[in-house]
Amino acid sequence: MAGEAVSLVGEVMRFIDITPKVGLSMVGLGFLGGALSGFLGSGGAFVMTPGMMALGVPGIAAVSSNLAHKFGKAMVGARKHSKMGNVDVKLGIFMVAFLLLGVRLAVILNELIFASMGKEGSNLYISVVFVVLLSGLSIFILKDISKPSAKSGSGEPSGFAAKLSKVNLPPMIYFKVANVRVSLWFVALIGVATGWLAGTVGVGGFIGVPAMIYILGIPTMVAAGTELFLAIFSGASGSFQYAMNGFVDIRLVLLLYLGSLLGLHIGANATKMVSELQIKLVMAVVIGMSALSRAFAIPKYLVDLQMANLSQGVAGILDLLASVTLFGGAIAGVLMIIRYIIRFKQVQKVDSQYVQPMVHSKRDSA
Amino acid sequence: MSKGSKSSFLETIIFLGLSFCAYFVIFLNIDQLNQFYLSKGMIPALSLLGTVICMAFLYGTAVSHVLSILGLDSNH
Repeated sequence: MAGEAVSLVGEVMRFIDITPKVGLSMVGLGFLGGALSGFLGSGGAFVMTPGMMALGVPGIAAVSSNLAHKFGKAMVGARKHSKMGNVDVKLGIFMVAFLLLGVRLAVILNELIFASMGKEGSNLYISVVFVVLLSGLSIFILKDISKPSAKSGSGEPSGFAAKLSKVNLPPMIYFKVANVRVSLWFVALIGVATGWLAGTVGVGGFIGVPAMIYILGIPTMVAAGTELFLAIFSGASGSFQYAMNGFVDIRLVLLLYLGSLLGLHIGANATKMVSELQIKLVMAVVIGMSALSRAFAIPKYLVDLQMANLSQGVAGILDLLASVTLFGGAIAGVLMIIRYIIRFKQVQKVDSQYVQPMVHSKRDSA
Repeated sequence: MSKGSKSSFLETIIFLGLSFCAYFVIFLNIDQLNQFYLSKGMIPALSLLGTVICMAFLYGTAVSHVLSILGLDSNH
């Protein structure tokens, strides 16, 4: 299936040809992203966007197709989640205005880079944002895991976050569902940052949810629910703006759905069988490997832009390492989930074997 | 088989069939559809997003039903 050509300000971008191998890889990528998304509760785009780029999809097409994929998923998912009462609509409405501003900024910046530096410049920009954010997030999660409070499941903000949540910067607003009184400036900052990230890398929730929890002091379930509400707007706004310029490849969106919607349910089921610490560990591994993968891909983009010089052999090795670390990380994450499920089932089986004779002996003695 | 599980099975078949037909029709006519979707207008962009939502709904519901039959449904 041949890819169409799209042009923006004279810069021509060609969608990739979908061969059976690429098609199957997209479905597999969707499954990995979906399973991780269902398990970790946010995104999966930190695997899907770089994964698509590793398969040869231009960065801007990968981000826009991922945003459209996320939008459809959020629209369908919102039906179920709205019944759970975890959405602070007032907070959502305040954040949406700033979120849309952030998305608009990201789309303008991404299109400007694509128009001035081409596909390679756009790929470089998206990869650098990925490396900086994902490596920072991975280190933050690993630090959180190593804290003794993380093992006991304490969700209280600490250190810098605790200090921020006590700042009294007017106008202060009270949000009833979340039961917090916070400065509008922090809401605005998180809204713009989440929107900018959603428009730049295709997902903002992996920063938005922790920011709402640690900076605004919002309960985890309300933060996750409100983020889902926001995902509809960021997904709709971002994918619409990219679609207006012809960057959304519907073939990729539909192939991703084949795997992701299946993986999503399986990943979500697995959360019932594991501890919070295990979820964080999988998250740190997948995010860290994804950051490493984009770091390996950067030299190739620099060579393409004639900003660096590398021999073809070295460039080939780095390209291979980028694919191996990305898919290796995602596969390792899914294998860890499967291992935790098997261990849970084994413990459950042993428990039931232990309990049954006890019941029988009690019945016999009675 | 109870009446409830019979209707749930029928729903699963319907949603699976519909999503298969929709995927088949879209990928069979992808060149013409892409010419329209990539024509950089408001109507094509809205149509593209509409298609995405419909497909997510059809296939998502089918998958949810299949997993529910297999006892693997979730609240996600």
